[in-house]
Amino acid sequence: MLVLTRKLGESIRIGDDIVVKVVELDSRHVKLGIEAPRSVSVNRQEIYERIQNENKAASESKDQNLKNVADAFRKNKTR
Amino acid sequence: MADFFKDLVYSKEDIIAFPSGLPGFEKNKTFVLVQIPEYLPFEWLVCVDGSRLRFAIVNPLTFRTDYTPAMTKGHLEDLAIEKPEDILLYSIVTIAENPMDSTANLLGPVIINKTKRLGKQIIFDDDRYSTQEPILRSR
Repeated sequence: MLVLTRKLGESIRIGDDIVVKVVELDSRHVKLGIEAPRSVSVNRQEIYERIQNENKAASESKDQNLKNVADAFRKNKTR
Repeated sequence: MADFFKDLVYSKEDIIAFPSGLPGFEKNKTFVLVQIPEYLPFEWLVCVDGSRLRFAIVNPLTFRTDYTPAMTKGHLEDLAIEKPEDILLYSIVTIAENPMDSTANLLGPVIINKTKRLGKQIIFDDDRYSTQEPILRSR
């Protein structure tokens, strides 16, 4: 991993069109400003991982049970 | 189910491209939507690259009528969406042993431009929704 030291207000540039700037600092938090093209999705790592893990769980879930879910769903609706 | 999808018949026009795959499945970029009457309102997003990947999906508005993911102009541009009619909105379903415990991912909905056959899973940083919203249990 590349590690760079930056001061408050300083930035780093990634490629031609991504800029990450240190906007605010205190003893425990760093606030970062990110400029990136709209097509680049920027997410907090833990949120991305949550989606990744749920996708894995969903892809491994038992699809033969979906028929039961659909039946229960319809029963729920008509109640 | 496995056999059903193995013999899946579809045409080239049915294929939906996911240029960046889905988080955790970045290499799987081509899918088709499959509807089977007895499973509705649930549908399938089936990968057609030779892998056995597939997801059960559902339009989240069928059980959360107040669902309002914060789509931005950037999201719409990404998927070349020009008009609301282009949009298909889905949540990926995690099927539980007990059907009542099945959940849908409302934090990361799948958006498809059905005209351009383009799809993406969008990640919202929104604490109103989770990756495991109960579909059947009353709120």
